[in-house]
Amino acid sequence: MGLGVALRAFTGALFNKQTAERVRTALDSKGDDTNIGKPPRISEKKPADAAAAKPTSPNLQTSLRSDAITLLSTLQREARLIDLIQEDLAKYSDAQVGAAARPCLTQCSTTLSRLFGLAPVRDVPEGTTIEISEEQSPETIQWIGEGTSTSGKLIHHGWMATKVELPKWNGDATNARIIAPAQVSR
Amino acid sequence: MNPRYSIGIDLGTTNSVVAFAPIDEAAELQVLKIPQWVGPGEIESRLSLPSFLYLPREGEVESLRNEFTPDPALGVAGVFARSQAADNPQRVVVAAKSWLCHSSAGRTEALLPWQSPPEVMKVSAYDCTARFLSHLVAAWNTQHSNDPFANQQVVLTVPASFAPAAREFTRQAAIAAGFPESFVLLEEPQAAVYRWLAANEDSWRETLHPDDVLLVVDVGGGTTDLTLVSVTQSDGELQLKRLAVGNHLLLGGDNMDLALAHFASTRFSEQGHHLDPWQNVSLWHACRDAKEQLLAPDSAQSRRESDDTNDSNGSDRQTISVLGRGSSLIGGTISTEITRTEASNLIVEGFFPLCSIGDRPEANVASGFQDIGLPYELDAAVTKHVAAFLSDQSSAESAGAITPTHLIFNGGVFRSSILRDRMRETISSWSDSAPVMLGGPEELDTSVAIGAAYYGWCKRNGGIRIRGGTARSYYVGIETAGLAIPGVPRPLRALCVAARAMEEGTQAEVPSEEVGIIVGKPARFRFFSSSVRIDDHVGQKLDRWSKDELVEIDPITVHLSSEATSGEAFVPVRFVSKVTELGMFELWCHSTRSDEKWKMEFNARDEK
Repeated sequence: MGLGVALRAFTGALFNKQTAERVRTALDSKGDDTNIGKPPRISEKKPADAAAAKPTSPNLQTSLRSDAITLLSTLQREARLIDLIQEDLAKYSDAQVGAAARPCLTQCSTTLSRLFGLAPVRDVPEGTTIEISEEQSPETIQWIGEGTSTSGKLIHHGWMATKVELPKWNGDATNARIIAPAQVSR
Repeated sequence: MNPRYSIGIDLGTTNSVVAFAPIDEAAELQVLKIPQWVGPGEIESRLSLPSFLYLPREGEVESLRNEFTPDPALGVAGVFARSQAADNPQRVVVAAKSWLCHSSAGRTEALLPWQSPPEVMKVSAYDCTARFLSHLVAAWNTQHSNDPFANQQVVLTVPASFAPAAREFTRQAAIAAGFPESFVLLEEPQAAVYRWLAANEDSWRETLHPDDVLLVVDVGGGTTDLTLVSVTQSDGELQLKRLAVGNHLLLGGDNMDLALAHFASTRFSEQGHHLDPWQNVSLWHACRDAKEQLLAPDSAQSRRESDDTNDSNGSDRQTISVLGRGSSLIGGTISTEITRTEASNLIVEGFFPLCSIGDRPEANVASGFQDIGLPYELDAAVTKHVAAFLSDQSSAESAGAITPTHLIFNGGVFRSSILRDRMRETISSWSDSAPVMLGGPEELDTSVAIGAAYYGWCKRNGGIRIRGGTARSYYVGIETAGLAIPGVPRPLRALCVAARAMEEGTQAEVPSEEVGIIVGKPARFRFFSSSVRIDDHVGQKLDRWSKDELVEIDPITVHLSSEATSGEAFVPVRFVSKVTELGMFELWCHSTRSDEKWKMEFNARDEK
């Protein structure tokens, strides 16, 4: 039996990455050499990434509203960004603008990091010299200046979204352009 | 069919969280994303479901219908409901869980939202709990259509201090929401211990030693829960045993945010600004953020440094701004500042004052938290409640209070290292050696759910279990026969029907005289629990007791119908108490003349 298993493990590990990983785990573990019965570990991934795989709504029809409107609506609801942007800044002092902008911007940051997981494209301090591989797309790396060097100084680390988890719009076409409802008290 | 997943659910006073792990694989414990309404027409998946229930207006009902909310008229849970608590507080149920354990009203009667106008539909705390749970079940089922919730190993957490009736209501609400019959209830502080065990699977046996005592201080949004766990050694293996559980304290992080908000709103009214209800809620949120900033770990560091140089620098203050109500944001914004010293006086000294082990919570402090109909704790000092709890646990062999060797903190409040340090400092001052803090501030919001999922996994596959049994001893009140004196109640005797630490899966016949129960008419008994009479045994009779020793909880009733009792007028019975494998405490009446038996109900109707 030992030889058969050894051969299967050998060929499996050679040709299949997952099998190789399983063989490695089995070899590394001491004594109780099976994964079954091994307690679960607490996920080190952010749960957001772990559970992102499946769509949350089985309703697969495309939304009747532009995602851009949904984003504006979210930022207005949570941070009141549209209110702030639509203000006539000329009417107020810097201190007044600052007082209103601080909570608004703080909340915008919380919201955007929840929806998009904003992260630098190159996560090193600006000013560091970095090596750029040839296959980097112009969308990822923008060269400034001339020359043939494959390394350069990072001027701006760039931004990227590590996930896109916008709310789903469930309304009908007539309301698709509403960013925030009018509020009426009685 | 064997379950594929272990699912742990933390049904919180302010937020609910679901964690899960596959049972048969070496796998990761993850947190479930919960889709929910976040605004009109918008659904987002979040890591928690705010425990708020919005009762929509007629015109809104249709637009809120979806797979998580099949009948929106009965209430919509989640972020949208929480945001409506600001605009339409009369239509939002908050703190349903606190109502569930509050015996005087609101459990099964449709009384909530408290004091709302007649046109708003009313629900009970029980309905509300069932709604939250069925939302969570639907969230699971849409993401795991091959492994329906009802077939999984499910663990639901409740406060350790929940009385049997509150547990029973929670269980019934869970079954109504689509939980499997076999689901297990677990105490929240124990779940926090399991979370720590899960994170330290390889090393906890080196950290803990025989005779160590762990104190779990769990300060949630609305409640504070205290639990002691002892470490013993048997056959060379370390064992954990839950020793004691504190009383149910309606005191939590929300109270701290409100204290800060109240302080800020006084500032605003000094400036001549009067906040409307919507602004008050946004002030509350602003204060929650300010609290976390002012009591954050790195600011603790800078506070120590600035204390050394006797210098208070500008970063030691937080601006609290409340935005204008209309679309004119800047013109309507008002702001004030709270300094670190002020926040520290309010929160650290107000809720975590240094105190001695002999200090007791004061019973007649005005706190202003009582206006929403719930009996909030009168003394907000968490440290004094801890002192009282530890002193009450002094056992026969050790004269003094129990001194914990290790501390586990749970609840978002303890993200602040200032509060963790203060709690530890206070407890250290009661003994010779400082307790060791276990676990860090990471993931305090999810640790109960993760611990519960880990426990479910251990239950299936074997692994460390915290032994404990019932947290309290229980008593039935029996009126003594004797000459009735008009106007004077008959003397009451308490019969111990369950000793403390009665284990799951056991039952105990209560030795006593027969009790006659009249057929065809509900028989009602007063029911008591004690967390301090630790040596009472089953069948013990108490003729008198002090008010602090026995706490009266909900009455229990049993109804013997005449069909079941072959026409007799009354049936002599004895009590049998039982703790099920699932952690439910039950009390039964066994006829002494036949094999018939009846389960007693923790009273569902409050007729005080």
